[in-house]
Amino acid sequence: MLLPTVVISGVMILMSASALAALYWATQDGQFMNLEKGAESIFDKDEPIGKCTDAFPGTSSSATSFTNNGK
Amino acid sequence: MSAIGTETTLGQEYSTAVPHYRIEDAAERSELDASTRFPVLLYLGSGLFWLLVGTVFALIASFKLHNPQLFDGGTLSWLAWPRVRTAHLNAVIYGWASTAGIGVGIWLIARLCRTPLRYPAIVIVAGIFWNIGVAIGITAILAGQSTGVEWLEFPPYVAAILFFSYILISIWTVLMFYYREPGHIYVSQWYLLAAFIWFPWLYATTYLLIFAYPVQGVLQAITNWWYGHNVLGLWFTPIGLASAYYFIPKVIGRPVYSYYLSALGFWTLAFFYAWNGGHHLIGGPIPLWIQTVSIVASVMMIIPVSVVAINHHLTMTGNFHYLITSPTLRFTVFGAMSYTLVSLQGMSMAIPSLNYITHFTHYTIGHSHLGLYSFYTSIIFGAMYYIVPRLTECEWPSANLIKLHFWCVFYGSALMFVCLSIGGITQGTMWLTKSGELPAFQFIDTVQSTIPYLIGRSVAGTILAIGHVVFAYHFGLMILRMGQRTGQPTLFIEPAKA
Amino acid sequence: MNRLPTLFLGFFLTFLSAWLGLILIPTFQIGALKPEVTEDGGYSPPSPAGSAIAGESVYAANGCVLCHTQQVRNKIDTADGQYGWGRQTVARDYIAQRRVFLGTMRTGPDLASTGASKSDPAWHHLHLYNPQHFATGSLMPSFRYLYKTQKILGQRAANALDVARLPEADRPPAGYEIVPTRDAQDLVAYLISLNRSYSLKEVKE
Repeated sequence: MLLPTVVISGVMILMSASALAALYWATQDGQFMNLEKGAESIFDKDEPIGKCTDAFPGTSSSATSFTNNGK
Repeated sequence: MSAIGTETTLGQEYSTAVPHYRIEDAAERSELDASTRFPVLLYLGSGLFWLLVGTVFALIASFKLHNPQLFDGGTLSWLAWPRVRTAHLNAVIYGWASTAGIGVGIWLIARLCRTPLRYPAIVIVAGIFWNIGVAIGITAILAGQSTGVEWLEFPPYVAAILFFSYILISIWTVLMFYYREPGHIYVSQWYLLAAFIWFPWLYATTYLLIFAYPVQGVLQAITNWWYGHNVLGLWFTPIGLASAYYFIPKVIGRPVYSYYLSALGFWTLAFFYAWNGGHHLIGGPIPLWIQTVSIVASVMMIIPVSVVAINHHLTMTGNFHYLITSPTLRFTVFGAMSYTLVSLQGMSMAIPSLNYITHFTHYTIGHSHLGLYSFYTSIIFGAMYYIVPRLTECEWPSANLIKLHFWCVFYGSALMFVCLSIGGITQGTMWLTKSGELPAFQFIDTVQSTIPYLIGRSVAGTILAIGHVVFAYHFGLMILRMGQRTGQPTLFIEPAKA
Repeated sequence: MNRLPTLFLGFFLTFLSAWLGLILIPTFQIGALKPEVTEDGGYSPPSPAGSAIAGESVYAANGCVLCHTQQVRNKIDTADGQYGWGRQTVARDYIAQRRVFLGTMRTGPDLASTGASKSDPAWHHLHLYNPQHFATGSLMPSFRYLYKTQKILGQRAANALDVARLPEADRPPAGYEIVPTRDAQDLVAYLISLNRSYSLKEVKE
């Protein structure tokens, strides 16, 4: 009985503490500021906002989505 | 670095003034992708192998259920229905879903940390041991060493191998995080961090509490379903949502509608999900307060679930036409919609009045496939359609094969869901039907009544199997052309123009 | 955000509470359950003996839990009272079992008290060998791989199956008998040990 109790409590405390630490760190690091910019972070110069990045192979939109290497 | 193509389809200027973004152009992105090539393809490829294995077991089990004499008539121990069904479950959960999910996660983490994959040896070793563990485990189950605990049927020594792999992946995740480019941590990364770092400890704790130092009596069942529900809530759901939150905006070129909502959704998921486990035991010999609390928590899930649904829907608004042109989006949106459906269904199943009808029936199996197949597996398929070309540097050869795969997934899973749901409700309501004081139906009659629906499920499974074979074949074609530029337009690498 | 410490304390406690609630507190509640002592000094529930304990592993390895439950719910709201499965089961009923198989599917009937109505090992062996013959319309697979057909040496084995009760197609050729393996015997001993007819003060029936 003692060992399961210790194991469960240990795991629980470790995981809760780590969740807590993560949340604290995120706040300190400024992760929750300017959330809108976060949403844009997956885009870049060549795959900017407004550009579709996937299409069925062989379709015309596929050909225009991806730059031909000129070969 | 030459400036390559700043045109956009909507004529919007991309702002280069934002300091967050380390990836500047396609060349850097492709270098990043290339660094993940071998590990990710290892996980995706082996996952697909186990999907095929799991599908074979699924078909055998499905056909044998409504036709018990099929094949061997019970003479072969390793073809016994319970062993085959258990092998199916473990092959698709630990062999397919987990493995492919880790592969997708690795690719996403590299992209979102904006650093090439560090310490590939760690994830490669983890992947090899993972596959060895699953292979030994499936063999052990067929050989009669199943533990008999649902979702934990692998013998403890196999669990130790999987746990070792889990730990390596956790360590790698922390390392990638440490080496990431500073800047914003995207919501998908939170979900993947939660899955890859927390879940192994739940796995280990459960094995300790059920097998190493077994807890008494029904505590085993409570622990079992605490684990079972956490596999869904802290492993598969986060990986699936991480994928959806990345690919939906990425494909349509529009940021997530409300990023604030997505952060809220993550934390409420983490808090409420852990309480749900007791709803697998409603009515059972466990303390009533656990059942009640789990019902409340199940209903509270409406918060994170609607957050996700609203967010994805509003992101997609005005962009639904991309479903016609993008394979990834099709699979991912089908998956995301299924997530909403299966969660709402799950909430309803926790309400006692419905639970008394559906508990112990095939309705539950319909629900689990809606979740793990229509939601999770679809999303992983969608992710693979996006990732694989970027790793093999060639295009999928056939749009028709992709479409065939999708419609097999769509119709197969819909048929399975409908058959098992109707079959389950029929079972449950027949049990409850009384004629005067006595039951209106013998138990065996209720069993017989499910047969047409079980046959329907076998048909559905066959349709899904076709989709899987098509996809595996298509994936094989891609792998074989790895590194070869065949004169078709190269897609994602844009070399510097002199 | 100047109430950070309070906020984090709140989050921490919320998160921790789920774990406490689902795992730690039940561990104390149920872990502390002891069997009742009956008038003649025995235990309710009784501890399983010998072969029945080994049978738990056979039940587990052969996946019986996938189609059979071992929990009877309340009879007012549910249908569990209709089929002669015995009284409602409570947590104390399971404390003497090393492995607990509550189950989640009823492709077949509940087995919590199967030993009460089916206490004849011979029936169990025959049923495991050919379920459809003894329960017409059953979808249960045959477990005949747990049995072996062997030559009769001198005398018939004591636990050989009564093949006259099996359909023609299943009967072995003359001079042969069907005997249960160790696993089959353990399994049947376990099934017969599933019997909730002992009394418990907390259950009114």
